[in-house]
Amino acid sequence: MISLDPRLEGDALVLRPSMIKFEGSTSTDIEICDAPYNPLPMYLNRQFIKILEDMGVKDKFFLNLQAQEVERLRMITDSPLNASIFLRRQTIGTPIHFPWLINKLAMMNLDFRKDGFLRDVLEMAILLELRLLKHKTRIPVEKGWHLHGLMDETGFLEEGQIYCSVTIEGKSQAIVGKDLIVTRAPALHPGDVQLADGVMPPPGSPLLKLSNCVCFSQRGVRDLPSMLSGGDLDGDRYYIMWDNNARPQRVFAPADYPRQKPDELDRQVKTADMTDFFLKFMETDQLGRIAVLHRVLADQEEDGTLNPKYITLAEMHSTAVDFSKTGIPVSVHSCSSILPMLNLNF
Amino acid sequence: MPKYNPWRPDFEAPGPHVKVENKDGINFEDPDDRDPDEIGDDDDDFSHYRYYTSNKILGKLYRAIDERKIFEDIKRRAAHQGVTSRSTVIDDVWAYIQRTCKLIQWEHHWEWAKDIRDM
Repeated sequence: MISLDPRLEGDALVLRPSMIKFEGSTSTDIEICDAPYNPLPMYLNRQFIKILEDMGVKDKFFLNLQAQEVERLRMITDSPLNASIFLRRQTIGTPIHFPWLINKLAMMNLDFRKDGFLRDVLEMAILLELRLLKHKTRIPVEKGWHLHGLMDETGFLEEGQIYCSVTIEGKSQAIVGKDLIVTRAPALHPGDVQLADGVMPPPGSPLLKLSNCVCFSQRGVRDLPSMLSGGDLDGDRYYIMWDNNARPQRVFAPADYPRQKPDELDRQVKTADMTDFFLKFMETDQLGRIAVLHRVLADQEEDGTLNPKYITLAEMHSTAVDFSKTGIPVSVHSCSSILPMLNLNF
Repeated sequence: MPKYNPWRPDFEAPGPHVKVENKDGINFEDPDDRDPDEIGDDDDDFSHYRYYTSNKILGKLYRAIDERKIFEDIKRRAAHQGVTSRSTVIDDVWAYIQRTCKLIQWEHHWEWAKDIRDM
């Protein structure tokens, strides 16, 4: 993860020790995989909604947001322009310039809706979105973004503060306000959603040169990213939401899972190591099952995600997520004593 | 193979063809009292799950969307624009192309274009 620091002079690239993965290379090439040219939109999912519900956000907030999206989907067939914007955003038919075709036809005074096939394509795309909304509860949040996390190198941000800025069509805007909702996927533990204050750096601050990202404070006892199910700043994206109608009544302490020590191999990696790892991964990969079980069970208890049994499930999920990095599989047997009624049989 | 809790909230149902039972009076920890033949094998099939009406927000959001009705509405709105039995859009586009390409010699590419299409 590289970010701009206008305080550096000349052509300089500064690396932290943790960014050096392989020593001894003489190559001066640098490959950039991705850059945040545009801020990504935010979507609520079932995990976030469940935790926000347990934090005391009112039902009305979610129901309104969802109704708004249904209304938007309804309006898409109303004009060729709506349809073409929608298809382009969903990248449907873009390789054959389908969104362009709809606009072009409109310019020629031809209504694409008069053609059965073209209309079916659009309706199928809308139905797909509608089904995602209903069956995955994937609700877009207008007042929210999904942004890369960075560290405030200047030390301006105090504990509990963030600086968040986006650029839309050339215009920069900062998200400023008290108690912005900050979270990260996956979120299973009730403490995976936290609040922070969005502040504006003073004029001339190097932070003002950053865009489409969220800066976290380097101060305090514990950094905010690590509180959000073990996030870090090497390319993780964070959700920032500032809708005033979503007012959490309480915030929960973040999870504090013990650090897992990765399996060290003090010799050269052989092909057999790789195949072993792959097999072990296939044998022990239970991520999906844990997540589904968490969703199902959190629905059946009054205290939802706060129930100690599900905190354990959240921890198992965290271990499972890290498996590819640590080589440590989820130990289901050690948890069966805590979750006896579930009779987990993975 | 021991079974875990077979109850699932309605919003986890895989599709609309699932019977949803009312949660009232159901104890989630009840042992399964149905005919074992009915329960089926412990594969990844959804058939051995039973669904209840969830009163939490996820259940409310799920039930707030009547996909059939909304989709019918959307179709009706689109159909409002008037659909004739035979679309004329493609004919109009063809006429436009012929007009625009009048001065372009393209017929001698015909065979080549066909080859590309059939590739």
